Amino acid sequence: MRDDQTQQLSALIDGELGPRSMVSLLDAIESDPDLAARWERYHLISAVLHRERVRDAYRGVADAVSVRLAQEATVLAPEASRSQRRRPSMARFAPFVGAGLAASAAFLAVFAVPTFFDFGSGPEGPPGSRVAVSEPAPTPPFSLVQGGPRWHVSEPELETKLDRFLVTHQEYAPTAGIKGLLPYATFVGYEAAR
Amino acid sequence: MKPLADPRSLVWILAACLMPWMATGLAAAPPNSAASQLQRMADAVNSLSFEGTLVYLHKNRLETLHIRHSIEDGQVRERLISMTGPVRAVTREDDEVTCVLPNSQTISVRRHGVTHDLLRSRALDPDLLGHHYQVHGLGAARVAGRETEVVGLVPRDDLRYGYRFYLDRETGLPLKTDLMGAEAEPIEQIMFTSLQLTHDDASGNPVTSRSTGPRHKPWSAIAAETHWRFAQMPDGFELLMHKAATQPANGPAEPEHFLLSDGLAAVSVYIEPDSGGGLLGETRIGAIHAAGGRIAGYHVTVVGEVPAATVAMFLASLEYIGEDVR
Repeated sequence: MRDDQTQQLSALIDGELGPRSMVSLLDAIESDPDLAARWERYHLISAVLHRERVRDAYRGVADAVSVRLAQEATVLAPEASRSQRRRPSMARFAPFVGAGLAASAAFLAVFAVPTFFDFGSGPEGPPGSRVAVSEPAPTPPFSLVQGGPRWHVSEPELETKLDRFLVTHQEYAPTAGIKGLLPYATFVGYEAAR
Repeated sequence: MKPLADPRSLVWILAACLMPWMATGLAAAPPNSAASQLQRMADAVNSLSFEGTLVYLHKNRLETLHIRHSIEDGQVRERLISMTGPVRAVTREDDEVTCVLPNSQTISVRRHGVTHDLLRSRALDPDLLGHHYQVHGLGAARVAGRETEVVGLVPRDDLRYGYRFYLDRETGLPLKTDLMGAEAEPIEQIMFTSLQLTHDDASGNPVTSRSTGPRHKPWSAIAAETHWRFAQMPDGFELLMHKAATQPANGPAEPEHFLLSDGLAAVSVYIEPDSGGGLLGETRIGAIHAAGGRIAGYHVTVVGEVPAATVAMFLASLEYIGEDVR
């Protein structure tokens, strides 16, 4: 796992990763267990920070994708061997097809599945959420804006560290140079939008 | 006819009669320059106790804050609480500041290693500011039902923000502060909507330290304390303070800390052993920017209320010179 991949992972969670980097990163997630584990942790952290429901189903998404791909590979293998007799050259593309499927599956797991399914409205969800699924309310033209991570970072420990650095800085910096009499106005007043 | 008094005595009597009037007149003279109004602002902050409600505006986000600020025995005591959104609070008593934030552990910072309130109560130095800011009187305005004089600090380059202070005509307190960006538009605004003075000036001893001597610390003074140097700092910034890394017995390790300032804007540079989890790249909170990266096996974080380019310049200019090079 490289440092740039960690940064790309943060950008992916924040929805700020470009399409070109996304493909290579998703491939790396599939091949690197440590990176996949970090990916899951970031998702959990993001969910907690956003006060979303955290369900066990969110864990092991990467493993689930890998297992599913492995199962599909066993089914596809005979087809490949049969077709190999007719069109031997196609076999050489099988690894690439698998990689493409892996990337697609991972992409669906990250983006499409949360979009199409409401994880918080399952049978064990609160009654209100079940009602919302059966009779979805019309989406209002504007909504309540909640606060997001203060420093626009996904890692709570890093957020706390930056807060500590800022407080220390404000405590030592000359008051007159920082907001007149209010050195902590930004610190207390700022609430990032999501 | 006998003279009433010796002419020399009359001069002394006249002088004695006029002296109180002259002294009162000087003290009560309306500050007529923008620089003196800024000085009056610094004095007011360090001598007045007050309580009030403020609004904080950043982009399209509006927050309400409540402040209680008092001077007791030469110490600033302050409590700032957010009245909207998740509860966020800062309390400052003596040399310790404590912050309570949502989804975070309580942060407590004790200021030590620096002369008591030396930095906080420094007087503004118009000559020093003049190198990098233009100071303008911008006229009068009304804030929180009170009359104010408006003073603008316009930066001479893009490496620092500008300020627009609305100073209470009666007390000198800044009732509104606009942080100005490169486009000469406010990027953050703080304004009192109500203000109550809670003590007379004489009720508490003002913060006394008002040194206007050399502010910066020469690099030669810390040569034996650090393995780092800045190859080329942004123009006008000088070292104000340096603290070596420490490991308190009952607390987290404190990184090496450089504080640099141009007399108004300030930047902190923190250096700690790289154990992962530090900031890589740039981020911000409001108009405060931070940049981080790895240098020579250490992790460096730069934080300050300056534009993003300025923190990036500090990070890029930091060099490890090693033990042998000092």
